[in-house]
Amino acid sequence: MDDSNQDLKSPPRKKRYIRITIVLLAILGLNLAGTWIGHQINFQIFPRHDPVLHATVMVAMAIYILLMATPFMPGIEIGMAIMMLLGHKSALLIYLCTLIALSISYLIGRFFSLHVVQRFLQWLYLEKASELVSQLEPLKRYERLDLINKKAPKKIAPLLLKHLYLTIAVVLNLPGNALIGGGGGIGLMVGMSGVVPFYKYLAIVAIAVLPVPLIIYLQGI
Amino acid sequence: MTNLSWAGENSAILDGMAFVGKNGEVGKELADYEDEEIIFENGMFTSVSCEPYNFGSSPYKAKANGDKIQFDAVTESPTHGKISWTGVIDGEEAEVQFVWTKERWYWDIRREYWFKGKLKK
Repeated sequence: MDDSNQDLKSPPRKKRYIRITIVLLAILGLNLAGTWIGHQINFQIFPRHDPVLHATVMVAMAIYILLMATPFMPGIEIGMAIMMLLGHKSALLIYLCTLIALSISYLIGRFFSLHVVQRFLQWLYLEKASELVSQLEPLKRYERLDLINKKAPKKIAPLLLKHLYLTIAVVLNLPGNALIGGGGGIGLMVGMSGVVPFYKYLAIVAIAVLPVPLIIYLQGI
Repeated sequence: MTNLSWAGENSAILDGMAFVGKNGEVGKELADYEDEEIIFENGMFTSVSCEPYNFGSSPYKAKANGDKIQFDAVTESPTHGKISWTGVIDGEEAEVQFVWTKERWYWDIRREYWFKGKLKK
């Protein structure tokens, strides 16, 4: 995957803003519609609904793990939305689920046939994720990791090239990592490379994704 | 106007009374389907609608304030959290606010409710 190609393919800024605005309006519209429907049927939550509330949160977390583990899916956004909804204490749960999700993407890349993964993603109509796997499949193991290095900021790239684990940690936190599939895509690539043992990968991820949930947990937003 | 302390001989002045009515979340209408009965007996407060969820009876405190009687109580459930009740009994009518809280390591629930009931005869 080439940076210049990505730049050419990316939509103009104006179009991007229009799309973001449409998405935000859609979210706002759904929220208003949900509130209106709830008001119309006078739905009220009582202590007896506690198991349902708990189950709903668990389902939301399962969806979050699935989205986070899948390349090019909006996992982080869902995680942030859950944190805003449930409050600061949920940051710990989100953190643990993020570790599970990124472990899943690594393990899929490490142990599953890439052809099967690619076909499965295609079957789900996840075209970009499927394309990423098919691009990586013919590459040698170290070449797969080069993709991560290419996404690192130019100024610190030479330093990161010498420090693979630091590179993974930095790229996991870069806003631009969406270009290579976000956290799920990075986990998949690292797993596919076979260069980093799972326990080291887990340690890197545990440290790399900690700052934001920790700040939210401690500050109590 | 008489101001009595919460503690003391007046704490059980509501004993023998029960009120039936409806519950609802604060900010919403009373829910037609939410029947409630609150009972004061032997110095204990009981919410009948909450009993199935392991909220047992608990001691209540009451004081007379003019013609009205104010009370509060806290009921706890090992499975569903805690409910704090505060209310006013005015003649044969009860107006009660209660707050349900449940703390988990990853999420706290806090919701406010109200109850309006009439003396059960």
